[in-house]
Amino acid sequence: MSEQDEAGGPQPEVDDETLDLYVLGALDPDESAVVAVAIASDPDLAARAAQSEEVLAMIGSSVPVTPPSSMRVAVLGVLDEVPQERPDAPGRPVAPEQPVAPGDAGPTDDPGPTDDLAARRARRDAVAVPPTRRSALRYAVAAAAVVVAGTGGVAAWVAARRGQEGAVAAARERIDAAADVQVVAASGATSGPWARSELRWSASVGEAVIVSPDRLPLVSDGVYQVWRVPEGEEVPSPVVDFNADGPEGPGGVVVPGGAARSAAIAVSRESGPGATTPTTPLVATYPLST
Amino acid sequence: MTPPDQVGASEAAAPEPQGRAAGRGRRPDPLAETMVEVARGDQQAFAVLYDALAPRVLGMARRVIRNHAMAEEVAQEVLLEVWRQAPRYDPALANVSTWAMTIAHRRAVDRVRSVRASEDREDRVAAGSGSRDYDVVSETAEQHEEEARVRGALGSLTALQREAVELAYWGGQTSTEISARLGVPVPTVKTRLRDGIIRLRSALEVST
Repeated sequence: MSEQDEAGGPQPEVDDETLDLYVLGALDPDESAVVAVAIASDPDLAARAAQSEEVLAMIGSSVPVTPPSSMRVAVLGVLDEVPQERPDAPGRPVAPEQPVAPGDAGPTDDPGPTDDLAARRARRDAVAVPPTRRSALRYAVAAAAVVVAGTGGVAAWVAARRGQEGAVAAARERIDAAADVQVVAASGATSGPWARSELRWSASVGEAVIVSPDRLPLVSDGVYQVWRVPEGEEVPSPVVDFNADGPEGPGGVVVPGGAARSAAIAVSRESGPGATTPTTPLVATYPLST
Repeated sequence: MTPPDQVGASEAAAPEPQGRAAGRGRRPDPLAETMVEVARGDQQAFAVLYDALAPRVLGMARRVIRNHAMAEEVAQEVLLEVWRQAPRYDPALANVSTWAMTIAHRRAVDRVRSVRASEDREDRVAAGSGSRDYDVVSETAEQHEEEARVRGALGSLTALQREAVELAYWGGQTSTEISARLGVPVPTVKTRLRDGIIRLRSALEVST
């Protein structure tokens, strides 16, 4: 590979074994970061990596699973809100130490040009026959960026855009379809929607939702905080905060991580996100017998 | 636009995308033309691409991540990433499926490692398991043929090579982690992985 990157900095040698291990995902994070950067600046290296990726993609493609229809609806339903990258967007330096913050995809998140189909087509045509080096570079940078994005970036964006309501409905559908679905009525709440709320969860699906037949009261000056009391412990841990994602109160919430290995799930009202322990009486508790 | 009948099913008849190289000696990509439309922002074309890729992306995610909900979430992220990055995709380096599956694998492994770092994931990682414990998609003859080809390629590995490759690829484990798990030196693990990939490349007839 070249000894200098495009910025003139020295590049380490990446031998075939290291490259194959990188493609397999078998390198330690620091080693992988070095190779990712090297690939991003060396088209020959990127091309060699692509050969091994082709092999592994064939293996990865060999276990297809029919997606639920709700997944198709969820993905196709948000395309208008996901700006496409510009074909000539410059590759940004990437390294695993630089996580992409939710909503921050750097220059590629600029939605302006993507609103103009003609402009996008013009840009695409401009690179219709790209020099091999630039092609490889773009490919490598794009692939590396995925590693960097991790669970942030698009993931956070998807979660936000998909909407709390849709997420709750989809999770409930999966849970209710499970053979081991369990429904736990709220205790501690004496009246109102919280008294009628329930925790629905499935160990096999690995999910839990808190739902109510009526919309839960809107919190105008704070958030609801979900707590988990792990088995064998008494101190609750914060799980997620939530509120309405519209003018009406929330219909429910997905409990990240599900309810397995928990003694109870509970909810309190807090003045804002970030509470580490309940500061007000619990509005509902869902005791679990595991 | 005309949707491809099935991924890979019409490879021989698929025309090459205009103005763009189709790769170095690879077979024509049945999704290439669709991808060109997707890169122009055509959502109908993306729906076709979704139908072609989603089963494989979800299958990959479920194999790496045992938690079905998490796998579905990752699959959605991957497919939106494909939409987002479509204008930058270059067929000279990889066909559409390879590109998408590379994104899928990295994202799935990243999620597994993230979970592994934060909580007990004893039953989340399908490390080394050759079983398929979920609802596999109905297979077309072409898919069946492809899977048989992959099985044959994996069968060309020695048991030790296959174990190492599966722990790395499906289990998301690094060579250091595999070394600790198997109780063999890291260089030995790396050799098994490297030799395994070479054999797979040869068995699947991917040029080097």
